[in-house]
Parts: sequence; structure tokens; C-alpha cells
Amino acid sequence: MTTRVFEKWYREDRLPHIFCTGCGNGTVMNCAIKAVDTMQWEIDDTVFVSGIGCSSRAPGYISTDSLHTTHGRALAFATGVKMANPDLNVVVFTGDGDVSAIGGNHFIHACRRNIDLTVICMNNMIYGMTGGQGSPCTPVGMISTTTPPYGGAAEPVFDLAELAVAAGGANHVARWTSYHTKELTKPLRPVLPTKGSRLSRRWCSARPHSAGETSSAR
Amino acid sequence: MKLKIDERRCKGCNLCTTVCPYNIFQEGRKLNERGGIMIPPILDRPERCTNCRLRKLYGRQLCGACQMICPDQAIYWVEEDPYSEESVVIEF
Repeated sequence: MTTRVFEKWYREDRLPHIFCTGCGNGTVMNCAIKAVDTMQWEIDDTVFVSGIGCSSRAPGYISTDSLHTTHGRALAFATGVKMANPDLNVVVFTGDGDVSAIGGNHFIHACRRNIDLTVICMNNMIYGMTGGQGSPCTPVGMISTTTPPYGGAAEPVFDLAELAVAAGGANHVARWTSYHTKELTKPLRPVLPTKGSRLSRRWCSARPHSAGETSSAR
Repeated sequence: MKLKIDERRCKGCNLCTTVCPYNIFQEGRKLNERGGIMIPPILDRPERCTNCRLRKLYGRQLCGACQMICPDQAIYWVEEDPYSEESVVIEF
């Protein structure tokens, strides 16, 4: 007998995944699956929905039904899933470029409507998959491929947790880093059974996926 | 129980070396079996692992920080034969 991490939830044939060395996306996946597993949700009753990006590849490695949808519209699709069958447990994996930039409007209205679903935003503060462009969550002064080389990003950061609170309706908003695995698993636990929309926003140490980068992480 | 690292999955990020309270994981030197750039960590006296020693006694998963933080799902435990040569010595 081996005790792999939540063996039944992962598609063994798809692993190892494409995330870079040391990327926090895999850790957040572990924590989300542990929370879901603790809640005793069934594989057949759970749907993972995602948009476009590194973080949104996560449902592809999970053995539940999943939707890999258009950029930023994961929440719209998730709303549709929930409307079609309210008995399903819907979890949305999304990134900061997905939920804060192109999907910002879907996000605030999903919060406002108080749909019974969970959003897990893996915020790596950059568009990692497409080569390190600055996102609305890029901190001030940080250099990316689309920010000025001197001075870095000039615009203030989009605070997604505050946005979810301000939009009203979100029952639970939490923010942790991908290093805090215990805490990442805990907030989901009391939260998942409550009705209404939840945003669980995770700072994620994913690094930009630029071409030719082969050095080890950290 | 015995601690194992799946070298086909490990990408050598060494995050496990930062979380283990016993410092069982040490940065590796040898390339993995595929011969790629991935250098999996080496295990320093893995019999000290809490989960290896006490899982049977408590009947549940203990600690498991390395398994949770591993982004590549490469760390796991195997049940071992009680009389096998590489059996874990239980210390209290």
C-alpha cells in the first residue's frame, strides 16, 4: 500500500505536470484537493472549472469533471454549471490575469450574485504562461516584460480580496501564500459547506515561464 | 512506513528541504534517472520521519508537510514488510 497524495483525485497518467520547478500551483492544487477530500465530496459530484493560464491547467490533472474555458470567463461557465445542476459542487481555479484583468467584471458580479461556488485565485502577480507580462496584480516598481525597464510597474495593485468584500455577497474571503499549506487547507474547510460564493485568494509563488529559463527555482 | 520520492515526478525545487522539521530532505547532487536537469533531494536518515514512526500508532496521517508542499506530488510513503531488511526502527 502506498500513500500517495490523494491518489484518486489525480490523473496519474497526466503527471508530472507542466508547472515550472518550485511553482506554487501544484501546492495549491494539493491543498484544494485535501480540503475537498476532507469535505467528503464525491468525484462525480464535483466540477472544477478554469479559464486560461498556468493556474487554469490545474483541472486537467484532476480526475473530476472539468471545464477548461475561455480567458476570464471561467466564472460565467461555472455559473452556468451551477444553474444547470445546483447539486454539483463547483470550484473555480483561476489566476490573477484571468480573474482580475479580463474576467474582472464576471468576478465582481459572481460575488454580487452570491452563487454557491468557490473561487481559488492563484495570484502570481504576472502573466506567467505568455512570457511575463505585467498584470493588474503586479506590485508597484516590479519589472516585467511590459512595464518600463526603469521604475517598473507604475499602477497601484488590484486588491482582489478587498474587491470581493466590496462587491458584497462573498461569504468568505481569505488570502494565504502557497507556503502556508495548513492554513490554505483550513479556511476552505468551514467555508466549503456554507452556501454562497467564496473567494479564496492565494498568493502563489509561481515564477514567470519564460523561454530558455532552465535554472533551478528560488 | 517508508518515505519515498518519486524521481520521475520530482523537479528538484527543494521546497521539501525548507519545511521538514527534521531536515530529512537534503539538497541532492545526482541527476535523476532520466538524466535531465532535475536534481531530486536525498534523504538523510528518513527513519526519523514522524509519519514513518507513528502513523500506525495514531492511525492517521501525521505531519505530512513535505507531501502537502510538494508541487509535483512526488513524496509518498510505502507500507513495508515488517521483516524486510530496510525496516524502519521505531524509536520513542
